[in-house]
Amino acid sequence: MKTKKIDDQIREYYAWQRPSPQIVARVKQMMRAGAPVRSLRRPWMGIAAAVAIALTALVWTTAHRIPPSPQQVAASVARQAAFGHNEKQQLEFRVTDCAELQRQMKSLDFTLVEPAMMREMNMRIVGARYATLAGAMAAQIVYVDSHGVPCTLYEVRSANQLARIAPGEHQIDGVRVAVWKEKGLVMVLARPMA
Amino acid sequence: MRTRTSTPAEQQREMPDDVDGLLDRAYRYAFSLAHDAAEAEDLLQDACLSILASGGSWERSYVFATIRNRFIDRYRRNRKILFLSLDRDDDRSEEEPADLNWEAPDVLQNGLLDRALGSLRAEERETLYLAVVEGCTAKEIAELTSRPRGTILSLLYRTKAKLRDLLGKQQALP
Repeated sequence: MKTKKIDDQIREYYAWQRPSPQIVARVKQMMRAGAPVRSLRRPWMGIAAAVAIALTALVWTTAHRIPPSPQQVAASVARQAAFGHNEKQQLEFRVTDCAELQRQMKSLDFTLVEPAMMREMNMRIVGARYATLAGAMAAQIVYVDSHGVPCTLYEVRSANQLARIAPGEHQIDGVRVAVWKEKGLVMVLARPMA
Repeated sequence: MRTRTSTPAEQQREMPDDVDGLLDRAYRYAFSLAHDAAEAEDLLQDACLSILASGGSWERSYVFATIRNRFIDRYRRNRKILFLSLDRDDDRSEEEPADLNWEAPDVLQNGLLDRALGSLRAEERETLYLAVVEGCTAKEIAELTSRPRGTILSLLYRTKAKLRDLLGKQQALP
């Protein structure tokens, strides 16, 4: 049996771990917006590297990973949403309606939708921040109900593994999380348990 | 440690030439803490936002420290136990036993190493990553994690032993 030093295998394992091209592009965009970045001397090298990363990620995924079931995807997303709700992170955008939020969140790769459920529950939008959900770019939107109780809605494109997500309800760390699809987006709503 | 705010001119000067390389390394460090791709990406994004907001540096040590702080903040809020005191083990010998870098069968196949690393605590994965992948010395890890150097040596020794044990058990499974 072929053997290798364990340290070499650990290095190889971490060498395969790379951020998605989407998150890299977003962080770079934030860097450019926040402080001027010196342009790369050889821009084609960046493009070549991005293509190489995407290809190796594809090969690695195909060779080593069994795709998670719709229920596993939903459970993972619900856990992230519950964490995100409990964290109560600082909002990047303060708005009063969804249209205004859409205008401000220019980096999103989808159009925000106000779920019918939020209108029916008389929820009022307060603000939002960029987030990631299952590795995809998401909008983390905070609403409050008529009693001022906040809840956290994630909106994300229904693509890749999220396209197969199983709708349902989850209870995690004192948070009730609902997962459903609406108008081509995956909606994940986290709110405190009554 | 955030001690001062850079001017815009300083920020421009301090921007890394190799942004992709820095983001890769920062992501891997975040992944070593969280052991979850989505959470690692969130940590990376939050840390970069935090650095931009505070006018901090893009040096590796500063970026890593920011990721670490963000990780501790978010999991403390979720009442998770992350880092346990190992100070009682400070008397561990600084000599690295020869078998800490043992010859092993291919543990990358079938997710063996992934599962074993996932069974380690965050502080154990972090120390292992910094020492083995980043090539940090015990002193450098001690500075980043605000722990005595002896504790780091002890933690690294115990983590390697634990990893070997975990891999051995997994390989023994039918």
